[in-house]
Amino acid sequence: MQTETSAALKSDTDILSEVRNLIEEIIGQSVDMNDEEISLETSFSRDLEMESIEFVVLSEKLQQSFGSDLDFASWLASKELGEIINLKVSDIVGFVKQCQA
Amino acid sequence: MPSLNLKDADLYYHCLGAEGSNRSPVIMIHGLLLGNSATWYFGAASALAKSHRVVVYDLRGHGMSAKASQGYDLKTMVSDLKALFESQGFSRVSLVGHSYGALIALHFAKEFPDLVDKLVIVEGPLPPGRGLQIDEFLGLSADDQAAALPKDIQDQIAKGSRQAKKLIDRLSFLVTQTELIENLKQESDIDDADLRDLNLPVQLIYGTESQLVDVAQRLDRTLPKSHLSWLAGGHYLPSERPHDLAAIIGGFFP
Repeated sequence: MQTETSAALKSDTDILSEVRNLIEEIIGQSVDMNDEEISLETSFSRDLEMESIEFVVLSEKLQQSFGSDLDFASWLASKELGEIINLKVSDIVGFVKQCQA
Repeated sequence: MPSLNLKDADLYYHCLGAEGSNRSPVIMIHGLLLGNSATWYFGAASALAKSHRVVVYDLRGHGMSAKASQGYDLKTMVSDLKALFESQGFSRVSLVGHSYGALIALHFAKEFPDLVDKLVIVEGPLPPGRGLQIDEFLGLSADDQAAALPKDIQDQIAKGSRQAKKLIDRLSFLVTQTELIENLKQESDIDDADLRDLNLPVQLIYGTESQLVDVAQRLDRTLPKSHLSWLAGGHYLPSERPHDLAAIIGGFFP
């Protein structure tokens, strides 16, 4: 139970739910996930099939939601192509959490 | 999402980096058809944003910008860039462009020499229609057409993914429902005399496997203050060699 967390710090569940909302805003109904909800294990490339331009929009929305200090662009730019292809929702949640620490 | 509303186009753009930086801001411009603001955003733009204010944008008809049936000629593209420049309240700027984006940068500097500090030209084609080699491309078999695309895009198409479908929709719109190809074919080469008048520092970056090796040599020979760097790769250096490209551009903007 997290009853005493400070207002600024969000729990993993809160972050996941917010990230999920942002992704759904971007890709809308255009992805067939077989009615599965976006989870920590969801892959951006394999499951969501997100385009690079949609990652730019995601980056912007992450900053709007979690603060302009969150430098998603640099974090992603530091990764190799193979890592980006294997990126999961849990990686983004972990990154947001790390930025709040 | 910030967007700039022009008379006949909406341009989507994104600002990165510290507003307070007293260095000259940098606007980064992608190439036609396959490019969009992601060309730079997750590579050189984010690296440069640590020390500079950086703006990346989607050219009309590309990325998140509104679909536009016309205005793909350099004159209109330069005027779009001028509107973006003014909307940001900049007094001067440096420009980084890939492919056709590099030509937009070059022509902006030619038209407004007092507004530009430095240029980075990555794989800019001369004459303008040449980089695309449209007629040759359309004459190829489907397999050879696919082989001419960047590796990451070939992979997407091979998978038949949602990304590939969206990409093909976008390309098909630009090629069949806009004046883009016609505009490109009518665009003439830049005069050497105009190049000699561009008295500002220019970093040229070309791929050793590119079809544009002679363009690199001509620009380096003609521009008064150029420096030419080669990267192992072809035309799509921003996706082929993102880290090396960012390092060269970073070195040009200390």
